[in-house]
Amino acid sequence: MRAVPSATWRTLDERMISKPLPQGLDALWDAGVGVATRLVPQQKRYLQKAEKVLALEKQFSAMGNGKLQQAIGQLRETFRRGRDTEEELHRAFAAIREVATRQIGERPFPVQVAGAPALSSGCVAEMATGEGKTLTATLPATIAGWRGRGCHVITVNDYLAKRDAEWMEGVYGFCGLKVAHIEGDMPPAQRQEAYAADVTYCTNKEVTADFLRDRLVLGRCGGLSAALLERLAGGQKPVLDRLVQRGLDYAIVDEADSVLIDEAVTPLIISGPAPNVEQTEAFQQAAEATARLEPNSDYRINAKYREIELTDSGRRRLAELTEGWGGLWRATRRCEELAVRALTAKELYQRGQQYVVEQDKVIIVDDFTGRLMHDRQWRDGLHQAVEAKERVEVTPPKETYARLSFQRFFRMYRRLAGMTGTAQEAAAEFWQIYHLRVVVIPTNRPCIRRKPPDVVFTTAAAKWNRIVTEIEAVHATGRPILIGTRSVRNSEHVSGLLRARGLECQVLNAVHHQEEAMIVAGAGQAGRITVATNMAGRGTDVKLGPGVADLGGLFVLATERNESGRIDRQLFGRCARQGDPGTAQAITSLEDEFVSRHAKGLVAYLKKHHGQTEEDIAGRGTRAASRLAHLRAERLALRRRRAVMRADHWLDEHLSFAGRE
Amino acid sequence: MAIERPTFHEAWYRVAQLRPRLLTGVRIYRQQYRGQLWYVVENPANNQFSRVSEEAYLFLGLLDGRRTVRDVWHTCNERLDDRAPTQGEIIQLLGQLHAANLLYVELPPDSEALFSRYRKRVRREVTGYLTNLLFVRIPLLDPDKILNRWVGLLGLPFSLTGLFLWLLLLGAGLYVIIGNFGDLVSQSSDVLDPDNILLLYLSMVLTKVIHEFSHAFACKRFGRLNGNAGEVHKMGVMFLIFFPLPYVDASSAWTFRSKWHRAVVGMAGVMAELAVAAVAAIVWASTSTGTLHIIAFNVIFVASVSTLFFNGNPLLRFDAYYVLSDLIEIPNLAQRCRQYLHYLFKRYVWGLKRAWNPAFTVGERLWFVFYGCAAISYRIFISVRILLFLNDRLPDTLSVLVPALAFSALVGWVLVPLAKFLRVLATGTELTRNRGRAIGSTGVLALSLMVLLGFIRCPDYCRVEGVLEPVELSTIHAATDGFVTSFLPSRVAASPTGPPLIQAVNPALSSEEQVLTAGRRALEIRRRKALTREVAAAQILEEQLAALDDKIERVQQELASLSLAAPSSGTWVSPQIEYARGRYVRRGEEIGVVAKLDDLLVRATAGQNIAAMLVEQAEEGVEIRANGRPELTIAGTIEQIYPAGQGRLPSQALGYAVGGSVPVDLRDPTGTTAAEKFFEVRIRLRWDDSAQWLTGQRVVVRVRLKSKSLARQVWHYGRQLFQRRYHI
Repeated sequence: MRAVPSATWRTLDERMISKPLPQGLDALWDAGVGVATRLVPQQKRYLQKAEKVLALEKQFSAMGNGKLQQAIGQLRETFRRGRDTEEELHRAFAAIREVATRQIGERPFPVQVAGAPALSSGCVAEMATGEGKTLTATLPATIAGWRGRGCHVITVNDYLAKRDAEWMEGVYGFCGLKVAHIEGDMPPAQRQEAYAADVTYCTNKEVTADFLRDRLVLGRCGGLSAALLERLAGGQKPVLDRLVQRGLDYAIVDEADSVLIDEAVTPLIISGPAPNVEQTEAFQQAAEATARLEPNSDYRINAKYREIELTDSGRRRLAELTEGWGGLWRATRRCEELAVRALTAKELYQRGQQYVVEQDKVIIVDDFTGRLMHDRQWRDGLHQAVEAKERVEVTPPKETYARLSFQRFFRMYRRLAGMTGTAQEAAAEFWQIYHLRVVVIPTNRPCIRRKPPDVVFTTAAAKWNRIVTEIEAVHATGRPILIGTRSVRNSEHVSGLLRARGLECQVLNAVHHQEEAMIVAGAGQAGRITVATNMAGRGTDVKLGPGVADLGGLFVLATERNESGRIDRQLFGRCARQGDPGTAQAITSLEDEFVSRHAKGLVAYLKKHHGQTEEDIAGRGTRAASRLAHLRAERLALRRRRAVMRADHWLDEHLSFAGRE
Repeated sequence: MAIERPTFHEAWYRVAQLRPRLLTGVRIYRQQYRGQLWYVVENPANNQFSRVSEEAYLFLGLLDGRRTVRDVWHTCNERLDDRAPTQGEIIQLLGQLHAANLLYVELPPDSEALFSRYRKRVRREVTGYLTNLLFVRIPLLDPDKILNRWVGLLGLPFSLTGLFLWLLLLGAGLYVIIGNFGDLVSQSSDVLDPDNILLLYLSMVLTKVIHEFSHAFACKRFGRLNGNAGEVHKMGVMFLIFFPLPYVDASSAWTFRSKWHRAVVGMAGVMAELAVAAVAAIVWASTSTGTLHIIAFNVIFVASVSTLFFNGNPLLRFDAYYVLSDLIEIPNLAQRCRQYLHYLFKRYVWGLKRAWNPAFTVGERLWFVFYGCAAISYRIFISVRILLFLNDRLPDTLSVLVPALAFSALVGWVLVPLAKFLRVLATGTELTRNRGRAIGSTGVLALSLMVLLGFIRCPDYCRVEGVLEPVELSTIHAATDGFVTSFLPSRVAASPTGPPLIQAVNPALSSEEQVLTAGRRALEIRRRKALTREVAAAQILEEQLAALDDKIERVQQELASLSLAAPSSGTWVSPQIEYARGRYVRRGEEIGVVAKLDDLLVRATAGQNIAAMLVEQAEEGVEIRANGRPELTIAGTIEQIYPAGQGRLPSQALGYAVGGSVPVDLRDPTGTTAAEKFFEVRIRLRWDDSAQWLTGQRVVVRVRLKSKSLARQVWHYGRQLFQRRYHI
């Protein structure tokens, strides 16, 4: 019998579960500790550490390459044995810094060095975009690589994973580490190899999916002993050899707020064809039957909660229509369920908004990014209902094999760290869910962003008018403009308005990651107008074109307030980077969906107070409205995420007989 | 989706492929509850029971360890159509069975989860104890073997003959008790004397041992009749209000098919206690003093209190509750009552149309409302009673316990539920859509409650005890010693001009008068004689004569006062006068009173705790009732309140010694010196019917105080209670 790698041993021996959140008084205590740690200023501590690292600069810059390599070899041994001290950590950072200078020609700035110990000690480092997060992550990732338990650097998309891995390869190579990245279409063997590397760059989706697939492979031999027995018994393809990952030890999550908070409850689902599929014609029949139902009399549409409710007459009518159909239609409950699904598809899902039809296939459109989600399906027969409505072939519903939310997945890491441009607003949640502290790292050069006060109108029409005139005025100066919208629909609306005025603009919409990043990157060229949803193109730098800085830099225009202050700040953070000039301006109206939904009362009052004026009404009232809306929306979202977590935990507890998730 | 029981569940994949089955050895019993078929699943290893519905039973029946959950679910769907369990319900069911350790899955057991479940259960039990400090149970031994050995003999009473004999015994006991009820009541005031506490406790242990073992034997006996063993494995100590007492766990009776068998097992304890009480009553009646007499009395006391207020009362969760819940075929009655009341609140106050309704039938609904309200009220009542009782009786060293218990009750029953309620209201997912409405209607409800309790003024009353006295009253004393010859009968109108109240003779006085008159005559003769002879001597004699005349006059007056006339007009009251004929009355002896009975006055005593309120807030009009005669009321007005400092009671009748409510100083043999100074309140009656009222009668005066809110009234009494006990 061949030896089992110690990493595999560790993986199997540890119980991979995400611990339940504390409850009752424990939760209160924990939250209190979180508040206390937030009150202690962290920034200074890490800047002092950075100074210590910088002080060691001379020591290494004087060394030749061979000498440096030798020194690094010694450090590596220390870290592998886990006998490192604080001083050695500083020495290591200084050494890696020197390597980075030599290998990629960029000497990490003091603030980047300050981020490294923060990440190393498991914090979320708030670093403005463009401050070199990729390089910062290299320092703690190298240390983690030296420790020999693997290190995952989580990026937003495959393109960035590949780019960063290739970019930093020299640094890792010099430090004696192997670096690899994961891409969506890699075969398992290559993945295994990539995860075996010391540092692995990958996206959150890939790493979670690989984890789930490993679990499926492990199947019933969950524990260490069972897996070893299986190996002894020696099947054709031993389970242990089919595992791709080697445990979850340390991860640095880029854009931590988006991955760990905004997308936290989105479950990653691995599914496949289901046996015993129900007759797909039932969905077509349902579409037929519901076509004969009258809205309002037979069913009611609840637009606010996007729901359909059958009325009593609707139920009777449905029973008449489906009489004698047999099969699923015999049972009233199933029948009504199918009908409600079909009606939901008919009334609430619009082609071109929620989905598109390509090559006789229904493809979901992500509302926030506008991306096409090829591999996603709606649950519980809704997808089939939409297919039946569009009269394309109804695909049999898939069956879930495994399912895990990012929130639960990332809580399984032994150590976790994150980087993002905006973390402070979510400090409480980072602490409560992940036990991560937030450290704000200052920018290298002072930020000279101009931020004129918001302009607020009572009506949407006035808002759009002003936006267009504003764009025209700025465009005339030649400054590049980036217009942020909340949804695909709005970005199309803006681009329509601009085209009507004869202004050419780029719209980020339903494109591939690489192009998306390129469009965003090109948004800094003089004379460009780019319309993008706020979520699109995260993590990419908008580099200013030649001469743009003299014109005043990038002009960012927000057309609406976002779900959280964080996302607003992200959008504004796209201009005035690395000491460049830039302007960020928000032009909103009281009719925007966000404020009118979350601050209903206040908005109604303001509307009444200001009447049908076309003037800017910004003031204390509107500021309060947007603050209130943010507060409410954030609280709602946090509550929802916690509820999902609690529900997951309940299931875990009650289904523990069914093995791990 | 607006679908009530969605077919699919997102966690289905976790169970779909499993091939679970029930553990070997699990027993299933079929039972009917209110016309619905249910199945009770028993795990013999730990005596845990789960109740599942008919549909769930079909599902469980199909699980044989070879079929997958998914296959079985599809089979169920085909067979049951709409009634088939949904995926969510299957997950719930499997989880529930798993938590009860009833499920076997051919996966390696997750020992950590097993232990964490165990820890959780223990923690729940411990917190259960802590939140229910007054009734703690600690299991100690397994009495099954002993019970098996003795059930042949001691199980015999649980038969028809036994029932008949029991009824006879109960009849006999009742007969004795009714015959001696007065004695029984009078003896009961001593039952909590410190001297008696030990005996009381021993009697309690005795009755409880019999109580618990009759549960156990009944369970055994019917277990044998039913063919299943009726096992009894737990026995231990229960701390009922800190007093250790035995208890036995006879829960395996749940598997008996006949609900009457289950009921007898449930009530066996109470029945045995009643039998013991009956025997004790007979013993008590046939002995007059001695330890046996006292123990018998204590046993009667313990058994009756426990039966009436605790075990025999279905409103608390003791024996009778379980029997009731079984007999009306609503398992978990109390819990579901609560859920139903919650449901009503959610449905109608919060307007949640989709709130989960725990009631299946109309009958259940009625039971829930009725029982729920009754149980809550009774629970509050009994807790307050227990607290007040402890407050009065606990020795000073332990008195700190009472506020501690009251505080824990306040936290456990008021604050924690309130906090939970507010949390649900603020963050509950159920309310996501209705929060505005829910907060609004809850606010309105809370506000109206607050207005009702805090602002609406309710009449407030206080009661004082007093005696009736006429306003004008002359006490008639005998003026001269003498034998009564005739008298006016009591309760007859008398006036100064009317017939004398009493007439007496005093032969000594009469003869003295005769002697004196004779002496006067002699003196007179001597004076006349002297007038003729010597004038000086005549003068002396004249003076002697005058002195004698005075004497005679005095004697004559005394004689005249043997016939006493009424000093004023009124009613002559002298209850003892009938026996006075021929009696010798001494001078100064009180014979009776002449009083104006149509003009009465109440002299009431008010303790210091209510006097302040009386002085400040009393309204003039009061209502007066005679003690023991609720039909008689009369109105009156407060005339005057004499400030504190009064120590002598207006009448002995008000003193504690003769049944009044004012504690008296024991050193005073007349029983009219109050132990604490009091205020005297004089109340003038508004007359209507004189015949019903007697002077010297004890009356209760209900004084209406200034109206104030209920909250203030309760606050005031609570503070007084606290202050009296802790002298703060």
